[in-house]
Order: sequence, then C-alpha cells, then structure tokens
Amino acid sequence: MPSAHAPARRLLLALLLAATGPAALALDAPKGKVVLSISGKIGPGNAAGRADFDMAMLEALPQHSFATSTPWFKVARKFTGPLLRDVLAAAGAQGATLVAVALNDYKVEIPAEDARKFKVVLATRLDDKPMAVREKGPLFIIYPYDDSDDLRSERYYSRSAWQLRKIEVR
Amino acid sequence: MPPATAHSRPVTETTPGPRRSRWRPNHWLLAIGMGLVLAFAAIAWVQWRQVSLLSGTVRYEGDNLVWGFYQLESEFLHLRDQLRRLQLQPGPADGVRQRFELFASRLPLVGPDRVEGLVEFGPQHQRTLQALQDFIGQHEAQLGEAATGPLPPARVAAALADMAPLLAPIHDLALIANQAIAEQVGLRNDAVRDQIRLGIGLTIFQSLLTLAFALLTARQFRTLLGRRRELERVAERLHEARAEAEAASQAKSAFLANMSHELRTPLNGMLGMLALLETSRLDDDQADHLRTARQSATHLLDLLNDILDISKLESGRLDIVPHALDLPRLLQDVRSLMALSAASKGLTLQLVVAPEVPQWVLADGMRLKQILFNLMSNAVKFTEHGEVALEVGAGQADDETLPGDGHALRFVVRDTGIGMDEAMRARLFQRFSQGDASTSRRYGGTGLGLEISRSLARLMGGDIAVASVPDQGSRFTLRLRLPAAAAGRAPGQPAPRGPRTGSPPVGLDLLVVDDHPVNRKFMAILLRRMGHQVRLAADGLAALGAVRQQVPDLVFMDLHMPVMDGLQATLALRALPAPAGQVPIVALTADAFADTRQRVMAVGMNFFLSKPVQADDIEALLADRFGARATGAPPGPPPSPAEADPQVPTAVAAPHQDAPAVPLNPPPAPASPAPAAPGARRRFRASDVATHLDMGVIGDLCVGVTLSGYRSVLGGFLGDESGSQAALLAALDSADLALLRERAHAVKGAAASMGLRAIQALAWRIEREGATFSADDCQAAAATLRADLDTARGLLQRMGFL
Repeated sequence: MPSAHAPARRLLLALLLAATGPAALALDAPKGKVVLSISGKIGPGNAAGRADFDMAMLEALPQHSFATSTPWFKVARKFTGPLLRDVLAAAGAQGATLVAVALNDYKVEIPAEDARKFKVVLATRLDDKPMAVREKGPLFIIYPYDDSDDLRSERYYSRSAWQLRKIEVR
Repeated sequence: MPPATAHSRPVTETTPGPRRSRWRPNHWLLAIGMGLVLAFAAIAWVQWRQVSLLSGTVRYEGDNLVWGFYQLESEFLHLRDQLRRLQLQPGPADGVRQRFELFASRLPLVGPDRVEGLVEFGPQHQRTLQALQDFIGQHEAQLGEAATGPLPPARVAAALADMAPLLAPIHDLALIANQAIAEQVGLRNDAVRDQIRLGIGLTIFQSLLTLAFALLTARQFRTLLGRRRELERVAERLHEARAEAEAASQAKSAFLANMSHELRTPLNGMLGMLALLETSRLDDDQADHLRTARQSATHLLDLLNDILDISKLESGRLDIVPHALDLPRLLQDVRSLMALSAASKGLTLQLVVAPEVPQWVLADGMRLKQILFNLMSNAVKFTEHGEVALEVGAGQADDETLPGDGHALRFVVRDTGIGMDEAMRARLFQRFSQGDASTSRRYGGTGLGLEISRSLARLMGGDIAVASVPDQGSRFTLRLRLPAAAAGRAPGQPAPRGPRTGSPPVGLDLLVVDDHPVNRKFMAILLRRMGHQVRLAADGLAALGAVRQQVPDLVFMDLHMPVMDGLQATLALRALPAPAGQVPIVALTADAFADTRQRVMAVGMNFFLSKPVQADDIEALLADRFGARATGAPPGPPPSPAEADPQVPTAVAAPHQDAPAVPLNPPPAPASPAPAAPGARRRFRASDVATHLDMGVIGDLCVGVTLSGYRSVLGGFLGDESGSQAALLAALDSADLALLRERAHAVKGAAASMGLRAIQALAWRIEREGATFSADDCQAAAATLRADLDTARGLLQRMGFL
C-alpha cells in the first residue's frame, strides 16, 4: 500500500462522508440478528466501538441490483443490495483500507478506494432471494465484473468476499 | 543479394535486352513482402494464443481449485472440532450449525461441474463427493441451519463417527488436485515457453526479411538514382548540343547579315568612285566598260541587300514597324520609281486606286514599298510589250485568312509579259529560283526578291498569290489588312509641331550630339541633304538643354563624350516628363560589340548605328520611324559647300565654343598648317592608297554628302579644327599616358569617319595599348601619327579631294 496516497484517500472519503452527513451520526441500534459489524476508524457507531447492522438496516439503504457473471456461478446471476460505499458512509467509516472478514474467518484487504471507484454492491439477495450461508450468504461483496475487463481478474475476484460478517476500517 | 555488378547494370540496360534480370528484383521484393506478411501473421497468432492462454488461466483459477479443496478440508476439520467441543461441553448448537452450513457451502465449489475439464480425478472423486453429500443429507435435519432446539449428544457422537472415515479421502482429494494443477501449470508454462521461442524465431526471421527488404530497396534506390543521373547527363548533353547548334546557326545568320552589311560599304564606295569616274573624260570603250562595271556593281548591291533581308528574316531580326502613312502617295512613289524603266521598254504603266481605299493607313511603308517595287520590277522585267498595272482595291472584308482589324486591301500587279506555266509557278517563291535557267540568264536578278516579298507580306499578316498564263501575262496579288490611321500621325508618335505642319514640309527636327566637330559637321551635312533640320550639341549636357528648349523628332547620340556621355545623357533625358522623356534616341558608336548594343538599349536608347554611319542606314531608320515625313523634306538644290555647312546657329549653348564655330569656308581648308606644296611633288608607292585610305568609306561619304561636303569635313579634320590631333600629339610628346586613351579615341572616331585608314588604325592602337606605352613608344607613335597625317594629306591632295 503506497502510504503517500493514504492521506489523500482519507480526505476524499471524509468529504464523501460529509456530504451524506447526518445519516452517519444517527445510526439506530439493530433490532434483528446482526449480520454485519463495521469496526475501526468509524463514526460513533451503535455498539461498543462498532457499527452493527441487521438485514433490515441494510435493506433500508438505497438498493442496487445488476446481473453479472462470476467465477462462482456457471451463468450470470442477479445480485441486489446496498452499495458498499453507502454502508460505509452509514457507519461513518474514514479509513483507506477495509479488511473484509468472512464467517469462516477468511480475510481480505480491500482498498477503500474501490468502494468509491466502482459500484461495489454488498449483495443481500441473489436472484431476488435472500442468500443462505450455504449459498455464500448472507452477504456477498460483488464488483460489477461485466463492466470492465480490468475487474475480471484474480485481484478483484479475491476481494469479492462472501459469507461476509465483519469489515474492519483501517 | 545479387552481385556488386548489379548496380551498374541498369545504366547499360537502355536497350531492350535482358528482361529476365530486370524483373528479378521485383520478384525478390514480392517474395520478401509475402514472407513478411506471413511472419507478421504467425507472430500475431502466437501472441493471440498467449493472451487466450492467460485469459483461460484467469477464468479457471478464479477461485483456485486447490484452494477449494483446502477450504473443504479446513471446514471439515472446523466442523469436527466444534462437534468435539460440544461433546465435551454441551451448550448451544448455533456455532456447530453455522459450521455445518459453511462446510456444506464449500461442497458445490469442488463439485464435478467445477472440476470438469481441469483435473481428472477418476471415480474416487465421485465416491468421496457422494459420501460427503450423503453425510450432509444424513445430518441435515439436526445440524442444518433450519433446525432449532438443542442438539442431543447422541447425534453429535453419530456425526463424529460418520466423519471419521471421510477425513482421509478429503485430504487425498486436496493432494490430487494440487498435483494435477501443478502439472497443468507446468504444461502451460511449457506451452508458453514454446510459443515464446517460436515468437523469437519468427522475430528473427522477420528481422532478416526486413533487412533483405531494406537492402533490396536501397539497391533499387541506388539504381534509380544512377539512372536519373544518367538521364540528367544525357539531357544536359542534349541541351548543350542544342545550344551549340543554335549558337552556330545564329552565328551563321549573324555572320551573313554582318557580311552583307560590311560588303555594302566598300560596294557603295565603288559605286561612288564609278560615279565620279563617269564625270571624267572617257573614250567610248572606257565609258562602255564603266557602264558595265556600274551595272555589275548595282546588281551586286541589290543582291547584297536581298541577302541582308533574307538573313535578317531568318534570324528573326527583321521587324515590321507600322506607322501612319499616306497610301496613295506611297503608290505614286512606287509608280514614279518604275516609270523610267517602263518607259524605256515602251510599256504602259497604270496605277488604279479604287475610291474605297483609305488614304491614311498604319503600315511599314518601307517594307510595303519594297514588296510592291519588287513585284512591279518583275512585271516590267518580264514584259516586252503591253502594259504593267498596279491596281489597289478593297478585298473581302471578312477574309478569314487575314486576321486582325482594319481594311482588307488587295494590291494587284498585272502584266502582259511572258507568263508562267504550272511548274514554274510552283518554284516561284523558292530561293534563287527564277522561272527557269534560261530566264535567269536572260533577265538577271537575284532570285531572292519574291521570297523576301512573300516573307514580308506574311510578317505583315498577309500573303502573296499568283495567277499566270504562259505568253499572256501574270497577276500577283498582295493581300493585307491595314488599320486606318489618323491623318499624318501614327498613334504613339510625337505630334508634329505647329510651324512644321505648314504646306512646304520642312523635314524632321533632328539633334546631333557628338563631341567631335568633324563628326558633327558630317552628320549635319548628311541630314540636311536629306532635307531635315539639324541642331548640334557637343555633349550630353548641351543635348539636355536643347531637348528642354524644343523636343526634337529624334536625337543622334554619340556615346563617348566629355562632361556627360551618351549613356548618362540618355538616362537624364528619360527622366524628363513626356514628350521630352520619350524622344527617340539613336546611339552612334564606333564599338560594334554586342554588349555595347545591349548597354545602350538598357539605358533606354531606341536604335543603334555603328560608325562610320551609312547614309542609307539613316534613311532607312528615319523612314521606318517617320514614314512619309522622313522623305517629306524639300528636295533642296544640290548642296553647296556653304549650305552644307552646319552654320545654322545651334540653339544650344554648347560648353565648348568650338561646336557652333565650325568654319564654313569652302573646301580649301583654312590656313592648314600642313604645307600643301610638297604634296604635289611627293612620290607615292602603289600600296599607299590602300594602306592609308579607305576608299569604300570615302566613296560612301561622297555619295552621302557629295564631294563638296566631304571636302569640307576633310578640310576640317586635317586642319585639326577640334584640336584633337594636337591634343593627342601633345599627350604623346609628354608621354602623359593617362590622357592617351581618351584623346586617341577622339582622333580614331573622326579618322574612321573620314576614311583615313592608317590614322584610324594607329589611333585605335594608341587607345588600346597607350596605357602601357613606354616613352619610346610614345615618341614612335607621335612620329608615325605625324607621318600618317602628312601622307594622308598628300594622297588626298593628289587625288583632288583637297
């Protein structure tokens, strides 16, 4: 990670977040089962040093959906969910790097820039149906792979964490 | 590459010969070009293969298969741990159930559809997967996410028991996958290596081809360059040859023209001498011989004039100069010229001018007269009895063979002479051909007249046609289109000034500018005899004043003069406003060099006459320029010496008082310093006349200005009126080399004009070489000059000129 770029990215993200403003400050406490916890350099949060989200909170954010081919399915599938950047904004995240942690403790680093550059979706639904753990759910980070050749590479496939449980903002 | 001789080949290959070798380079080029295309295609194919290989790798390795098996095993172990922990510490089953789900979610990632085409596992894979599927199916109800409630320890134990035999096969699968993938990576690396090697080979091949291509191209280029150089050389040689041929032809024409011109001078002299001789007392035989000699000389002169015209026509130096002319008057002139010869043969001479013929037309009078005179002379010559007629009428106005504007005119010369048959007529306009050999002998003539006439007619935009019947006569028709002109004045020519438009024409107002009094006197006599008014000026500055005072019709301008020379004077004159700035100027010079001619034309002079000036040249020039006015002078009485004298006060305040002060005394020169008496007793050698005198020039002068005129100017020269001889002698005596050139030049010009050959030659030598003379040379030259002056005087006295 080129550290020289880090301050710039942080600033950009801060600006981005400032634009969405009050939402970050007033994060409600989750009512259902917590499916995603964001920790690290974030806003006030709604738990001890964390921002916890249940499925309803994620589905309350603006939803996006697109169909894309992936290495994990034989055909293109439709993914639906909030944009990663909206989720991060809701948590008041201000870091340059995201560490995505899956249920099985799979960890991968994602530059926070990706969330801004691409329409990365935190998919909650596959073909409009909620995803079970066995179907790589309940949360799946999906890049819009069909948008660009660059995205169809091992680098981005590896960042596409499924069975996502936690995001650590650094 | 072909051998080194190749590049010299195309040079010699100008003849249709070795075709094979000519298209060989093309063949090579074609082959190399095709090779290059194939090499490029092969390289492109290899690279495409590499790209697709890499893309395939990316696709299939998306979620690495080995990683999948590893994860499967890992999750299997996680699940087992969770189950064991639950067995030891019974509690909530959430953790176990999530692990079960995670393990279950891993199974499809290593399923047959994912593995297919990547690794050949064989039936063991199927069996293991089936066993795992069975395990999941068996425990789904209790361990699955959908299940709720506590998990009985018996179920946990059962699950653990079921798992025990599965661990080894799962591990095996991971190992097999790892090996298979490693193998595949190795294979792929081999393929990539092979392709890269192939690519390198192709690149080398391609480079070689490119090199060959470049070499061939360079050779072709060199060949082309050589060929172009050769062509350029050939073109240059052709150009040079053409220039040489043209120059040779030009030189011949010029030589012919010059020779004709030069020949006329002595001939004129001869004619003059013959004329003089006729005045002496002769017996009948002598008179007869003399007449024959004159006829021969006259014929020779005609011939020379014709040759001069022909050579001028051929070298394109004959210009037609149209001016306003009085056509009926010109026709009358022709008629009167012919009257005598017609009358002497007893022929009737008729001139019929149709009323529609305009009086004033724009034409070159001299040349038109020359054509008509030639046709009329022929008619008279070939007619023994009957009549010769000149009929002038209007031709067809819309005659398309006559381009341009103006009156279409027809000049018909008709005779009742011997006529011609068809064959004769065909040869008629050819050079040196007369009717036939017998007519030639019988009638004489140059045989050039008709050719010249037709050439002149064509130069004027017209033509001559002939119709004839043998023994009945001939009919020559000259057709011309002549524009009408305002009466008495051609466009662009100076308007005649008031006093001289009166009914008795007084000739032209001519200004002669020359620093040498003898030359001035000579020109004045010559021009006055032609009936013109002459003003004199001694240098350019005086000439400028004279022109300012009254613009003359024409200026004769010497080139070498003190104070302001002819070139400077011309430049100054041309700077004046019209009409003074446009006065025609004739250069007079003893230099006959071409560059002198160019120089005088460059400063704005209009004509060029070389000294000694010929009377007929001046006449021709004036006729060309002024047409009828040039001959419209009062044919005054034979000029007496007194009248011939340029006593008429010049309007010019010449800076040198000697200019107007030319003595007017009759021939016996005023108190000549030379003793006249010894001349009479002196002995002369036979060659003295030829050595000292140019009888041609002297004869010419006598013809031009009459004997008394010549005597007058000769007296002036030998009396050294100008002081130029004394000045030259003084310079020689004091060996003042700086002055020699200029002073000798003055003497040379005058001596040349007088026909004093030896003096002219000596002065010319002094002029040329004086700057390098030693004191002895100067003394010798002075002595020679004095002796030559004495000899010339003595000779001329003996001959009766003095």
